[in-house]
Amino acid sequence: MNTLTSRRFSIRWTVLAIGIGLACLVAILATRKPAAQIISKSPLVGQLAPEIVAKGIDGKSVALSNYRGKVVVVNFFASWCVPCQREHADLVSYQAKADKSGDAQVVAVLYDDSPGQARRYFQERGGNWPVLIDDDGKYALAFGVRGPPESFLVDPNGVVRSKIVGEVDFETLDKMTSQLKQELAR
Amino acid sequence: MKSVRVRYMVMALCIGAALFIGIRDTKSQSIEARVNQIGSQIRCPVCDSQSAIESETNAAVAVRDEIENRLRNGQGEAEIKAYFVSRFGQGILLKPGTDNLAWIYWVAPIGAIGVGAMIFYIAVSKRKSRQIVLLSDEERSEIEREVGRAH
Repeated sequence: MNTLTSRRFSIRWTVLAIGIGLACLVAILATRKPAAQIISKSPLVGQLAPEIVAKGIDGKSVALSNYRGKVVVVNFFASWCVPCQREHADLVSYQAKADKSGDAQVVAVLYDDSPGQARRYFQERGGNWPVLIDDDGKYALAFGVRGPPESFLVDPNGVVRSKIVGEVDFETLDKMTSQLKQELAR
Repeated sequence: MKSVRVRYMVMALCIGAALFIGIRDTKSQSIEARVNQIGSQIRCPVCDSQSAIESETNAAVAVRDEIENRLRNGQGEAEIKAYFVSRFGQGILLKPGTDNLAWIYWVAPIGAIGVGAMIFYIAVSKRKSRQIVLLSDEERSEIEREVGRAH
């Protein structure tokens, strides 16, 4: 094999390697989760969830610790927030499945929004979970929320297991809940 | 005699009231000053680069209220800052402290440049060693002769 042929050969391999690299990059970008949802590294993960004792938009008082024994999705949302509107149907599906199994619960906390707006929002979109009022923003602060929607997966012992920044979807929540249950069953 | 006693009592009451008002004002002023001092080191959770004191968003107001409540409950600056870090991470502080892995941020770029330079050097030196050497007419005819003999 002369030098010219060997050079042509190495160029061919280089082009092939670059091509394979680009194809892998495209495949990774195409299959990864949308940037709208990030499993965040919160310092709260692994810690006991801060207690919430607040009045709901239905006037009933609720404590987060009342749901010990269930996987709880604490969802900070606002009716004016577009990603919150987009994730709502998925939360409805998640709660419907949770109602059947009886081992999970969504608890929403109103972020920078009025109870009246939230009531209208739930009348239009459905959803039967407690929606707690956080007038002075102290619960959002206790959970380290920077803006809605942010959701926290709390295990049956009350420990925060994950923080999701951005909109959640049914598949992710369902998968995370199943994984958590399997982990706890071991 | 009785009127003198009443006068003294009124005077004592006035001094007591003045002292009470004075102490109360100083205390509330000092709490306000401390809220400002601590709040100026904490980032407003929903803003990019404003402190909790500079911003008027609800989140910044909540931060200020939390600082005030904690000060009134006897917590110090370090405890209050640690609370916010425990909820938001180091990024909530306008001047974040260093963590154990901070050195990586300094070393990694230098290391990357070093590795890149090494790869470049190896590639260039390999290329040099592979340079085409043109044969002279004599050498070529000798090779052709040898090849002819072998056949």
